[in-house]
Amino acid sequence: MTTPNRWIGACRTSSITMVMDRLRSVFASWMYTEVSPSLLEAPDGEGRSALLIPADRAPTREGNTQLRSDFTAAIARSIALSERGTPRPVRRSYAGTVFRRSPRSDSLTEVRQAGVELVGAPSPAADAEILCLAAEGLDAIGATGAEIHIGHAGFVRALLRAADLPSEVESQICNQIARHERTALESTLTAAGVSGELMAAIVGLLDLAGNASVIRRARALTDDPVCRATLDELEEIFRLADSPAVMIDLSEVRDLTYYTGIRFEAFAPGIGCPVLRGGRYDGLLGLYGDPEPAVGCAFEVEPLSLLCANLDSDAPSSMLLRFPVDRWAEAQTAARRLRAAGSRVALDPEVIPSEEVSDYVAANGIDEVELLDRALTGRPS
Amino acid sequence: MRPLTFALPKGRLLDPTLARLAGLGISIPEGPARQLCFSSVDGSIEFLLAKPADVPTYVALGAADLGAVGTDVLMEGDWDVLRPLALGFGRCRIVVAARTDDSAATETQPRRVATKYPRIAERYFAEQRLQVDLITLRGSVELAPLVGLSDWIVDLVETGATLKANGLVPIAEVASTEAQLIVNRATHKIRRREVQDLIAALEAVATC
Repeated sequence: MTTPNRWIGACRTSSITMVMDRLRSVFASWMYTEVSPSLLEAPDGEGRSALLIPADRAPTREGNTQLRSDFTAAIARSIALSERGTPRPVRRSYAGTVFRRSPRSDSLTEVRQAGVELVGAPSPAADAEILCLAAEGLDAIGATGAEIHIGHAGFVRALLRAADLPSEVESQICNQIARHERTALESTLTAAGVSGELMAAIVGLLDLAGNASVIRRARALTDDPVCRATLDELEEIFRLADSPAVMIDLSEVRDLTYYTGIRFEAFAPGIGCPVLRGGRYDGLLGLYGDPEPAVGCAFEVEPLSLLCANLDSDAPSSMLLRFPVDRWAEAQTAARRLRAAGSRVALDPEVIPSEEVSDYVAANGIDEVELLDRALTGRPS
Repeated sequence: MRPLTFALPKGRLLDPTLARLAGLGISIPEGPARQLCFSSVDGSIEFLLAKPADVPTYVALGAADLGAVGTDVLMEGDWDVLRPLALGFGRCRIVVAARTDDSAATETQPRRVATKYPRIAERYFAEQRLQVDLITLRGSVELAPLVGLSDWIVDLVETGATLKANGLVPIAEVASTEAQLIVNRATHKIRRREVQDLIAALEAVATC
């Protein structure tokens, strides 16, 4: 059964709109062109939706269409199929709603996202661009103290390949690393015959999080040439990004089937879930056409909107214009003049009782009350 | 920065969890325990008191930073939480139990199995390639075979005394369980040092 599960009131809507507007402004200033993929789409059997969103979380399917569950797949498909001949790199942004099925109930969840995709540009510069843009976006929203934790799918993959484990054991080990189950991880590795330096390196993943020193510690764990190459790449991305908000975290092993290079999440104090996710997905466009490098990120708008309470509104000043209803035409003239001067004006033909005006103004975030005579003459009435 | 919030499980794991925290000098105020949210005496931790099955929800969704819960609860759900430390108490077994006069071994039709753990039971019987009809109950699962509602039960057993008192015997072990520290993923990222210090202290006090 599909049930609508949320109704968002005016106050939250205002915060959500502010986050969307500020992110759109950042995206535009980096020359990312906004696109608007269809809300209804053909089921994506091969793309990111299938790779990253489990079937039981896919939204309702009606015949040959389903509600959009992700922006990246739709944008990648469009670029691969419709923009094949256009000069690279291609910069695209989006802001809107995707639909996911809650894993714990049978209801659809609306998730508001805004993000960017950079297609046709390789690592490390393109990765650093996305990280810099992400940091600027978080700043614009006022996400003070937010941290972007970057890892590298190639490093973990190479380390596990060196262990040459059966796929079911590798999957079990990835789950244990993802959950930080150190004791269970050691037991599984021992049972699989992994020991010595390789075991220390895999278990050591759990501690590879922090500042730039993590890369040095990671180098000390392994001589594997692929691991070394990914660390070189990560170090260069970190250097180019040059942001105090960016941290290294090599303990992240989720989504290895999708990401091909860096993967990152951002976290903000007081918010118990990631506020941003992203990474390099060089394998995706090849599913629709020619293979191309691609990197992107998605901001989670609703958690970020919780951080907006202390931000100044972007909206112009606002007023409640009070007047007797028999002076309606004069009030319209005054309101037009005030709006033309940049104010937002709500009309009150004295419907609100005078003793309730102050409550109404406070509840609706209105800056001031203006009386008609004063608005017309600029003098106190 | 606000104190870390710790979700405590009501029931059998509550006292040993508090005892472990007391070993770190973190104690709760004395008095009638009616409040569901309260601070430690030293103000270093905020506590939530929740039903064990709800502890992972509070932690996964960020309403609590950490929590203690049995691995039976974690096995039954699919919670996106970190599980960095087995706390070493609350050890139990999840078993299949039957009446002492059960004749399952000689029968071939699907057995009816009552349980509070439908997902664990489903996985277990699938692995065993046994076809069963699962009946989900909220509690007092031992009652089901006594009144003919089910042939077997899958339930958590600490000493086995309740099974024995109701004429039931374990016929197979599904899993062993114990109390587990769980941590919200975002908290672990953004307050890593603080959380790692607490984990290390909880581990150290367990081995003293």
